[in-house]
Amino acid sequence: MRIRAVVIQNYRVHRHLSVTFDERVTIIGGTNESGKSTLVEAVHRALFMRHKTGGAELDVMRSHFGGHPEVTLTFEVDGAVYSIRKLFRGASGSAVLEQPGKSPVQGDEAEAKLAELLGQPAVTRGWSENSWSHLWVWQGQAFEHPSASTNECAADIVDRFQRDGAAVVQQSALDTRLAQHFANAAAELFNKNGTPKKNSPLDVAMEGHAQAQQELQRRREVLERLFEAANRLELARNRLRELDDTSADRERELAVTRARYDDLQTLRSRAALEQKDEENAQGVRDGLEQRERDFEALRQQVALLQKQLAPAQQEAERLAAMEQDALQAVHATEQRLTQVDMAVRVAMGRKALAEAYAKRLAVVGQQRALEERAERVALVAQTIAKLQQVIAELPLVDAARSADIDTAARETDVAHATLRAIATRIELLSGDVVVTVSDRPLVLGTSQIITADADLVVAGGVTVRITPGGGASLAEAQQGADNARRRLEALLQQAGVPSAEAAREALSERTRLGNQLALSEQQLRELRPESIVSERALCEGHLAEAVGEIERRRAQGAELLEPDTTDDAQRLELEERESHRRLEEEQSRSVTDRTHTRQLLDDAREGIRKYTDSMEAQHAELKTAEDQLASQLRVHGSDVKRAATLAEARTVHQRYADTLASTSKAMRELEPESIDLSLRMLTSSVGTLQGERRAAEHVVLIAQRDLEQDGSRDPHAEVAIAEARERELASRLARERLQADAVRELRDLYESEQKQLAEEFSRPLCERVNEYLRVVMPDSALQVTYDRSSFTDTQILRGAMQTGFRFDTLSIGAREQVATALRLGVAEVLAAGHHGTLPVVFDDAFAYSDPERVKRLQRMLFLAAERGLQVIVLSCNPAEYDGIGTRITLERPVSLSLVPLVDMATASVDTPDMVEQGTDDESEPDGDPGDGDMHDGDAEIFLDILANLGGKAGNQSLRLALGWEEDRYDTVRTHLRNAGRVSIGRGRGGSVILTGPALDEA
Amino acid sequence: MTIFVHTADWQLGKPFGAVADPEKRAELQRERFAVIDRIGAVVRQSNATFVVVAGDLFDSPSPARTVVSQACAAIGRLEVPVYVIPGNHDYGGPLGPWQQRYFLQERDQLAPNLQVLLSATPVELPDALLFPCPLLRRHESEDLTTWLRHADDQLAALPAHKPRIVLAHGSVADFRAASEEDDPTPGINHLDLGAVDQAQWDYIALGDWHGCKQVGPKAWYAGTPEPDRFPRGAEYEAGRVLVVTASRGQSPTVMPFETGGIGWHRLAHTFLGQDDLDALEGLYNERINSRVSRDLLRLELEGSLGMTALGQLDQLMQTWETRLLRLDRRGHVAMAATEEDIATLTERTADPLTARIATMLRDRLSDSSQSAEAEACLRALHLAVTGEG
Repeated sequence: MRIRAVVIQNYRVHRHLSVTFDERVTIIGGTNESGKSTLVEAVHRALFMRHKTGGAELDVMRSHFGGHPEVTLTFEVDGAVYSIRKLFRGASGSAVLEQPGKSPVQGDEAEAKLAELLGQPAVTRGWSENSWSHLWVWQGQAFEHPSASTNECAADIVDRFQRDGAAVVQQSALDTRLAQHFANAAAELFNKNGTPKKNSPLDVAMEGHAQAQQELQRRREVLERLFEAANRLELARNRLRELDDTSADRERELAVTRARYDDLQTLRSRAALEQKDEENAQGVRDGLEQRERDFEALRQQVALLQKQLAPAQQEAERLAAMEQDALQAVHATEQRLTQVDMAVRVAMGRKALAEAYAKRLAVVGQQRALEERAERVALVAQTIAKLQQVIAELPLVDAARSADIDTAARETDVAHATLRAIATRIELLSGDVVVTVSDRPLVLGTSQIITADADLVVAGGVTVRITPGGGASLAEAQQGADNARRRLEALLQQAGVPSAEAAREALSERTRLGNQLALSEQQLRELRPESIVSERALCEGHLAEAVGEIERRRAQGAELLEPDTTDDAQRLELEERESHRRLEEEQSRSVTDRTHTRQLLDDAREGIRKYTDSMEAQHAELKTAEDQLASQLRVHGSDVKRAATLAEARTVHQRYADTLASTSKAMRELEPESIDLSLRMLTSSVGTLQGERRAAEHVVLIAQRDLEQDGSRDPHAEVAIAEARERELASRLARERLQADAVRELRDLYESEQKQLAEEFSRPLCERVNEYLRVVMPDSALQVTYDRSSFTDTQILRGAMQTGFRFDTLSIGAREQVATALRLGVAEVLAAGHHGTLPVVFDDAFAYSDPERVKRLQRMLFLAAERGLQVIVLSCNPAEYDGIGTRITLERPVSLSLVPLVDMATASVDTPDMVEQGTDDESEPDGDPGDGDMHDGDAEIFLDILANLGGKAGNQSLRLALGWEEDRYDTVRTHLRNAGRVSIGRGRGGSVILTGPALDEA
Repeated sequence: MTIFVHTADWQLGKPFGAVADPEKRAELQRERFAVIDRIGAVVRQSNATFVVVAGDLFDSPSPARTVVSQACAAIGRLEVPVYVIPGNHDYGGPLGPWQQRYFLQERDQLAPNLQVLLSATPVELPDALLFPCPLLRRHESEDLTTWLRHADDQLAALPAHKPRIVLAHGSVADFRAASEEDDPTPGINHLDLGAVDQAQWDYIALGDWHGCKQVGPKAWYAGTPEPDRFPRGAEYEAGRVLVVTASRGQSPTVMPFETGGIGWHRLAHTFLGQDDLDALEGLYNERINSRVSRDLLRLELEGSLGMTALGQLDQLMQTWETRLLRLDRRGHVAMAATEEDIATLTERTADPLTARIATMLRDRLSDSSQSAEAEACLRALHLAVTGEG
C-alpha cells in the first residue's frame, strides 16, 4: 500500500490542503503550527476512522473555517489506485471509495473495502488511533521502544513469516495450553528449588515410604528383641544345665576332700600332743647336757684361775720388801726430827728468857721516865694556873672588841666633826633683853652652838627659828653623832674600860699573857699527863709479864746470865734469836725428809694394797668357782651318777621323737597343703557355682518375662506386614516419582522449546532490523526475543565484544535510531503482506539526533525506500533531508483569512531532484519572537477550548480548563491577540474573547 | 486299620501384608480358620479317629492372642484328638508359641483334644503310634528323623500291631528345590527319608511344602488345607487334606479331600496388539468371572500396548484390583506406541511445540537408560493431549 496524495478540507488549521506524496520518500517541512502533524493525522483518520464518527472525536477535527472536515486520500494497492473520501459530519458523514474503472462504493461498504485493502479489520466506530501504530510514529514517540506498537501487529508479523514459509513456526494455542498445563502441574508438584511440594502426591509418597521404613525398622527391632530374649533364655538354660553337672561333681569332690581333711585334723591333734611330749623330753635331755657342760666349765675355770695366781705371789713379796725399806727410812727421819725439835724448844726458851730479860729492863726504864714526866706536869700546871689568874683580872677586851671600840671611837669622832661642821654658833653680843635659844637663855657674850632647829626668842615676842645646816642633814648628823657615841659608850662599858686607849692597852696585856699561857699549855699537852697513870699501869703489867716469863723460862730450865743493861739484854736477845732461827731451819729440813720417806712408804703400801686387791678378786673368783663346783657336786651327785641320768634322758627323748616322726609322716602322706587348698577351692567353687546359678536363673526369669507378650499383636506378622507395606510404598513412590519427573520434564521441554522457538522466530526479524541498524551503528546488532505475543528482552549488542545494553539504558538519540531500525524492519516484514510496500510516517522525528546522525538516519530511510517502503518524514528542518526524497513545505496558516496561504503544495512527481519545486520557505524568519517557544498546536487548543467555553472566558478559568502554566498561557494568548484571534476583555483577572471567523462560525 | 486325617501348614494368623486393604487381609485371615471347620467335615465324613498337623499350625512363633484363641476354638470343634508338631514357622523353642502361658490356657479351655508333641519320643494312641520329629528352632541343621534310625529299643517296648506314623516338617532330598522357602539353605530343616527304613514305618506325614504331594511310597506332604500363595506350577495342588488309612506293615491308602476356599490364580499373558486386552479379559472371566473378594491373582503381563490400550489396561487393572483380594501384577507391558498414537502427538502441524517434544520423547524410547522416563512423559503428554481433544 502506498499513499499517493491527500486533499484535506476544513480540517483544523487546514481549510484546504492538497499534498502529493513521493512513492519513496516524502519530506514535509514547515514551521511549528504549520499543520504537519494535522496533515498526517488527517491521513490516518481517513484510513482508520469511521466516517460517521461524531462527538468530541469530530469536534477536534473541525476547523475554524467552517464547513465539515473532509479528507480525500488517494492510495495504491497492488498497482491499483484507490481513492477514499470521507466527509466527517457525525451521523450524516459519508465515505466513498473509488477505483478507476469501477463504480464507487459508499458508506460502510466503502469502510469494509478499505479495511480489506489495508488488511485490517473494519473500524466500526470512532477512530482506531493505534492502527498501524508501528508505521505511524507520532510526534514525540520516535525514541520510545516500539514494542507496544510492534506487539499490536505481532500476529501480522507471525502470519507474515509463516506465510512466507519461513523456518519459523509458531506455537499453537494447544501448545500454549499444554505448556501452561505442565507448568502448572509441575508447580503443584515441586517447589522452586526442585524439592517436592508439601502434600503433593510425590511428597505424600515419600513421606509414606519414610514412615513405612521407620515402621518396619521399629517392628524389626521389636522382633529382634524377642529373638535376643529367646537367645538369652536358651543360653541361660544351657548354662543352668552345665552348672548342675559341674555342681554335682564339685559336691562329690568336696565330700571326699572333707573326709581326708578330718583324718588330717585327727593326725594334727595327735601330732600336737606328741610334739609336746617330744619337746618336754628334749628339754630334760638338753638340761642335763647343759649341766654337764656347766660342770666342765667350772672345772676348767678353777684350773685356769689357779694357774693365773702363781706369778702374782712373787710380786707380792717384792712389794713387801719395798715397804720394809721405806718404813726404816721413816723411822730414821722421825728420830732426827725429834732431836731437832728438842733443840728448837731449848733455843726458844733461851730466846724467850733473853727477851724477857730485855723486856724487864726496858719496863724499869719506862717507869723511871714516867715519874720524871709526872713531876714536870705538876710544875707546868702550876705556871698555867698563875697565868690564868692574871688574865682573868684584865678587862674583857679581846682583839675583836678592841677593834669594835676603835671603830666606834672613830665613828664618834667623825660624827662629831660633821656636826661641828654644820652647827651654828649663836652669840649674843649685846642686849638687855632676855634672849633664849631653845628655851635656853643666851647669855650675852656667850655663844651657843646649835646643831638643831632652835627657836631664838627675844623678849618682847621676837622668835627666830634657826635651822643649822639647812635643815635635815643637821638632824641626821646629830643623830649619827649620838648613835656613835652611844655605841662607843656601850662597848666601853661592856669592856669595862674607860676609853679606847685603855681598851687597847688591856688587849695588849691580855695578848702577851695569853701567849705565855699557850706555851705552858703546849708543854703540858706534850707531857701527856692524862696517860701517865695508864702508862704506869701498863709498865707494871709488862714488868709483871716479863718477870713471870723469866721465872717460867727459868723454871723450864732455861739458863742464861741475866744482863744488867739494856744493851746487854738486847745483844743477848739477838744471839738467842739467831740460834733459834738456825734450829728452826734444821727442823724444817727434817720435816721434809720425814714427809718424803713417809711418801715412799705410802707408795709401797699402796702398791701392796692395789696388788692385794687384784689378787683378791682372782682369789675370790677361784674361791667362788671352787665353792660352786663343790656345791654342784653336792647337789647333782657324782660324775658317774650324772652320766647315768643323762643317758636315760636321751633314750626317752629319742622315743618321743620317733613317735612324732611317724605321725608326721602319716600327715604328709595325706598331703595337707593339697587338702587345704582343695577344700578352699572346692568350697569357693561351690559358692561361685551357686552364685552363677542364681544369676542364670535370674537371666531365665528376665528372658521369660521379655518373651511373655501381651499377645495383642504378632510381632512376626507385624514385621511381615511392615515389609509388605514398605515394598508397596516404595513402588508407589517410584511410580509417583516417575510421573512427577515426567511432568517436570515436560514442563522443561515446553519451556526450552518455547525459548528456542522464540529465538528462531525473532531471528529473521532481527536480521532485517540489523540491516537498518548497521547503517547507523555499524558495530551493533539488535537481539529480540519473541515471546508468543510480544517482543521481549530487547538488547543492543555493541562493540567487538557484543556487550548487551538494554534499550532503556541507551541515550535518547540512540534509542531513536534503534527504534527506527526496529520499526523499519517490522514494516519491511509487514510490507510483504501489502504487496511489498507500506507507508512509514515519522512525525517530527529525529529531533534528538545531531546532523551526523541525521545523515545516517537518512541513509536508513533511503534503504527502507529502496526496499519498497514509502517513507514520509515530517520535519521542522527539511533541509537536513535534502537529496533523499521529495520535499514539501507547509506554510504556517497564520492568516485568519478564509483563504489558506498554501492552497496546494505541488509535489514532485518522481525524483528527489524535483524537490526544489516545493515552496521552501525555511529562510523566512519567524516574525514574532514572543511565540518562539510556543508549542505547535497550542494556539489551536487555546482557541478550541475558548470556543467551547462560549467564545469568552475569564483568564483564570480558561487557563485551568487548558491545564497550562501561566507562562504558556500568556505566550499563547499574546500570540493570539497579536494575530487578532482574540481580544482582551475587562473584568476581574481579565478575560479573553474570541474574535474573527470562529466567533462568526459560532 | 486306622483312619486319620493328615494335614499341615495351616499358617494361622498369616498377615498377608502384601494385601494393602485391611478388610481384604482380614478376609484372607478368616478363611484360614474357616477351613478348620471344613477339615472337621472331612473328619466326620471319613470317620477319622484323629488328626495330625505336620507343622506350621501357626504362621508365626508369636501369634496374636486372638489367633491363639480362634485356633484353639476351631480345633476344639474338631472333636477328635489333634496331634501337632511345631514347624519352622511355629518352632518349639522359647520364642515359639507352645510355651506361652496364653496358649496353654486356651488349649486347656478350648481345645482339650489338642496335643503338641515337642519331643522326639514315641506317643502311643489307642490305634496308632506317633513318632514326632518336632522342630525346636526355625533352622535345624540336623536331620530330625535321625532318632528314628536308633529307635529299635523303643519300638520293641511298644505294641507291635499298631501302625507307626512319623510326623516331620522340612524338605526332603529330591524335593529340596521345591521347598517352601524361597531361598532354601542347603542342609537346613532337611529330612533324609532315604535313610529311614521304610519297612519300619507305615506312614510319614510331612509338612512344609504347601502343595499336596507324595514324595515316597509312604511319605506325603499334605499341603496347606487353605491355599496361601500363588501356585508354583501346574503340579501344585494346594487346598487339600489327606485321609489316610494305615495298618502296621502295609502300604497306606491316601485320599485327598478338597478344603480350599479362596482362589489363588496365576495368569500370564503377552500383549501383541489391541485385541489382546479382550483376550486378557476373557482369561480373567474364565477363571474368576464376576466373583468379588474371593480370589487373588498374580498377573504376569508382558509384551507391549499402544498408549490408548495402556490407558484402558490401567483402568481394567484398577477394576480388578478392587474386585480381587489382591492383584499382583508382574512383568512389564512396554508402551508400543502405535503409529496412530505416535502420530497423535508427533504429527501435529498445528501444534509444532507439542509435536517436536513428542518426537524427541519418542526418540528417547529406544534408549534404555531413558525409556522409562520417556514413556512416562509420553503417556502424560498423551493423556494431556487426548484430554484436550
